[in-house]
Amino acid sequence: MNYETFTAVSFRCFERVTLEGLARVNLLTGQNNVGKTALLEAIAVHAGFADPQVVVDLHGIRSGGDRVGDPHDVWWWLFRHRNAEAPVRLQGAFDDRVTRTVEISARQSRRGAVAPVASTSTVTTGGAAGPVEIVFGYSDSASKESTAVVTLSRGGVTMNPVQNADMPRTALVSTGRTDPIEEAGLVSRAIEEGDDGYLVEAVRLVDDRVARVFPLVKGGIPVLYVQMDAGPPIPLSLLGEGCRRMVTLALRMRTNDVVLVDELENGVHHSALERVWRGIERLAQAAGTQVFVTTHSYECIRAAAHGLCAGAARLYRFERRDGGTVVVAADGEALRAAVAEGLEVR
Amino acid sequence: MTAPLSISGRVLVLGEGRDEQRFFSWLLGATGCADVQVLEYGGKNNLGAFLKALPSVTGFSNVARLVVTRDADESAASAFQSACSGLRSAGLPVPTELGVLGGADAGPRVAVHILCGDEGLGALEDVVLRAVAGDPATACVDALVACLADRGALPVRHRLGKAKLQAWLASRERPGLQLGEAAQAGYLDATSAVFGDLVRLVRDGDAQ
Repeated sequence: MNYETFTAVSFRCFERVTLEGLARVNLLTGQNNVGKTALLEAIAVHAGFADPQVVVDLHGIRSGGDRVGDPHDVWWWLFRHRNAEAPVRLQGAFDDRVTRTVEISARQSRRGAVAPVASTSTVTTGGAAGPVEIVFGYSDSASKESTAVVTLSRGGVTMNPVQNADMPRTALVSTGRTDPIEEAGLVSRAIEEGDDGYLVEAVRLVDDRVARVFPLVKGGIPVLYVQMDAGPPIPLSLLGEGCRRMVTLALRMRTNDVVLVDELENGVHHSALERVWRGIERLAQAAGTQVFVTTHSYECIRAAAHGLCAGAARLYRFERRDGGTVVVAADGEALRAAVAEGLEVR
Repeated sequence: MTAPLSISGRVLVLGEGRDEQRFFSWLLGATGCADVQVLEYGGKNNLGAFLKALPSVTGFSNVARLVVTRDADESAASAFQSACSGLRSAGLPVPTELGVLGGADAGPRVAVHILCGDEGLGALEDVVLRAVAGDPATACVDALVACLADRGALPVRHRLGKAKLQAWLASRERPGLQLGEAAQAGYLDATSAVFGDLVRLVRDGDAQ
């Protein structure tokens, strides 16, 4: 299941932003704080609304850890300017011809009666006004509806997820944020199914000495090791960021419909970037995965222009204009022309 | 790696190649056109892709006027239609008339300027030949062309202007320069009336 169009309204920094004509591989560029990562998060929340834990996980990635100062704050920053008066609207039109909408709103529950929240300035979560509910309302063009609710109260945060939501499986790949034990499990399964060749192929994009990737149980914990063409197996964690990223990326692309990659170039030598893009396209085609990648690097964009088939790629440049965010798109052919003429599209 | 090129001018002029870029930069600079940036699009076959890339280039949102230049080659009308087709595919405003800015509520106003000789075919070189028509060396160039014609060795008609201008440039104190280089070396007069339409279009948004 792939996105064809995605719209975010009143989400984080966006008043309204739409990405049309989405391709297999989508590059998101633009200056700092223009909303590239926020767009990845919007997709992650849209696809993962059924389990609102996704919002907490995203906060963990942003803050570099799982600790949350004020557990309620995480939820309010979903709304633009922290203003819950304007509900968040995330909408995706998919290649299965279904448009799926997630609306996020806040309401205050008082003695059983539920009233809409007037504004965040009047919300005192868990205080005298009583608990607040963050509602993730799903609807689609096939007339399906469901609702996940998060209750914020003085006692903490309670989540009521939805089961069996018809959304793409989505993963966000960000520097330094991996779950080694989970990944070791995924690699075990791939080896068991005789389907680990793609993994080695992916890691070899950045280091062609890699012969095998496999888990070993050390101290009761599964740990990923890499066998190079010579010497003893080396823990993956001791290899460079590039190798670790390739493992994460390949595993996520193999097991998800949509993979969101923040700053692909991190840890990858510029000379490997073109190969990495080719590898990403190959994996995406093979697994039917759609990829969204943010980058600040011209080397990364140039490598994409050279490494990706023009028909599989699209660039979206985020620009601040008139106090809002505007997205300008360029197809693969235009991306190549821009790079060939040395034009600035970051 | 050289730094990627951002758009900094309010008026953007597109030329086919590096030589055209040099020439237009000289011409527009010498005639007092302010806040103008000239870019090359890498040849007519690349114009469509270049136009599609343009809106995603840093600074394009500040462009008020876009002037696309193109050689007429065998037909000014066909070249105009081809440039308009590229603009349409790129989602940019499409002018209805040659050399006239097409209006748009949002985004830049856009004009297409076709470079050609008197018969509506040819290239930038044909325009420049008209600018140097009074130079004594043009008689020698005409004699060369007549000699080539006698021997059946003339280039095809729409490329004759290029050949003639190369011959004229060979008569300068520093022969062998490209057109843009020759302009920058001071061999051409930017105030020549033959450049007037383009200069007015770029400077004032009006070719008349």
